[in-house]
Amino acid sequence: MQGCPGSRTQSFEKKDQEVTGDEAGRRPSELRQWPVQMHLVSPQAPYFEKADVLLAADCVPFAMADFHKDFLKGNALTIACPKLDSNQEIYVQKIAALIDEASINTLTVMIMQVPCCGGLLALAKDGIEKAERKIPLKVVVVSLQGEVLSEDWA
Amino acid sequence: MQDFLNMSIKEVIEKHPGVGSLLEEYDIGCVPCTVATCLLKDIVTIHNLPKKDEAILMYSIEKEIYPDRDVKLKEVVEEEKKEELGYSPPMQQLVDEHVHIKQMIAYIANVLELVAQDEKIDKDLILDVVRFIREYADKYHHAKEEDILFDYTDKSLEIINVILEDHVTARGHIKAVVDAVETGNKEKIVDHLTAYQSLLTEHIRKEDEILFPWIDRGLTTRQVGEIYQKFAQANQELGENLPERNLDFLESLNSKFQQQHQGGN
Repeated sequence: MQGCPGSRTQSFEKKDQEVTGDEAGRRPSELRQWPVQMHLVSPQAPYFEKADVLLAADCVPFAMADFHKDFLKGNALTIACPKLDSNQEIYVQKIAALIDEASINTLTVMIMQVPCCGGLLALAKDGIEKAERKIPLKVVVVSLQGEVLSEDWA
Repeated sequence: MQDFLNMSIKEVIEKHPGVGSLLEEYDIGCVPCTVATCLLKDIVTIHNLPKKDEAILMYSIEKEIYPDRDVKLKEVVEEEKKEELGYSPPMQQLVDEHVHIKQMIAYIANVLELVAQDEKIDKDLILDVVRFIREYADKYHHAKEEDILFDYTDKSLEIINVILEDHVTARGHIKAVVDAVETGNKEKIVDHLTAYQSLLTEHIRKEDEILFPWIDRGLTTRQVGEIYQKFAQANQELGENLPERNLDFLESLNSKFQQQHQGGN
């Protein structure tokens, strides 16, 4: 149990009786745009115009079973990894451009509980600081097993 | 019981004073409320008690009203406590503005002391206080609630009417202060400033502790963003100078009364 919590090996073994989710039915995807990766998206894309934007760490949608239903629905999306992605200063510029040029309504940053994921929030704050307009920022922290640990306005 | 649920809390407490004490046990302060026209059913919802406490409170109220009735305590499955979000950014802005209004409310006590001890009324000081209240508390702050925030609520709810009525009553007190300054009526100045002080203290408490958290619980992220932008637009239309000059005035009162306090010692 040593080393970086972001890359430490862990298994989440679940007994059958612990699986309580509803397995019936199918849900449509709530994604309404392409691309999503932060290096690929353009702040000028029409789907960002005045949108509520979700900036999710890459691992979040895999951890959360109901990510589409509870968080993606109705929002524009962009994803990034603060630990592995390169040229992150471009991310700061893109966030500032989303605020000033696309006039986004709000920004919700969803990160995993591991410490290195906090880097994504720092990037978002830098982008907001750089922008001339001000917008509300919400932060959602997700556990490794997909629970919402906290949801706060920053 | 349905009749009582749809009755104003003032009437309920008048008929059954014990209900007031029961509400106080849960920090629901309807007894000292000057208006108290909220409906019993809304009061319980608005205060967002844990489900179990709400069931016990409703049981106790029904027992208080109908002591001979065989009232059953509603069974409640204990819910996992959901972490309450802090104030949303626009609501935080209103709460921050309250801090300055509360500072002014505190200085009104010093102003009242001066009015009582000086033979001549310091008209300029009192009219400057009035200007702060009209510009900052009313035009800058209350207008955002009335013209923007309350559009995101059910305006027919009694709690909103109570808040709006407070605004109207406060304006009435301030107009009466101005009239009293013109006629040199010290007693009326003291009466209406004191009434304003007490009304706004309770009003701000109601908003910070009950109304704003309740409104926040009902807002979507999209609505929070909209309200935030509308507040920014409203502030911009009034100009940066309005809050600046009023906060400078608060600072000047702070120095004035600190000096007086030191001079008195």
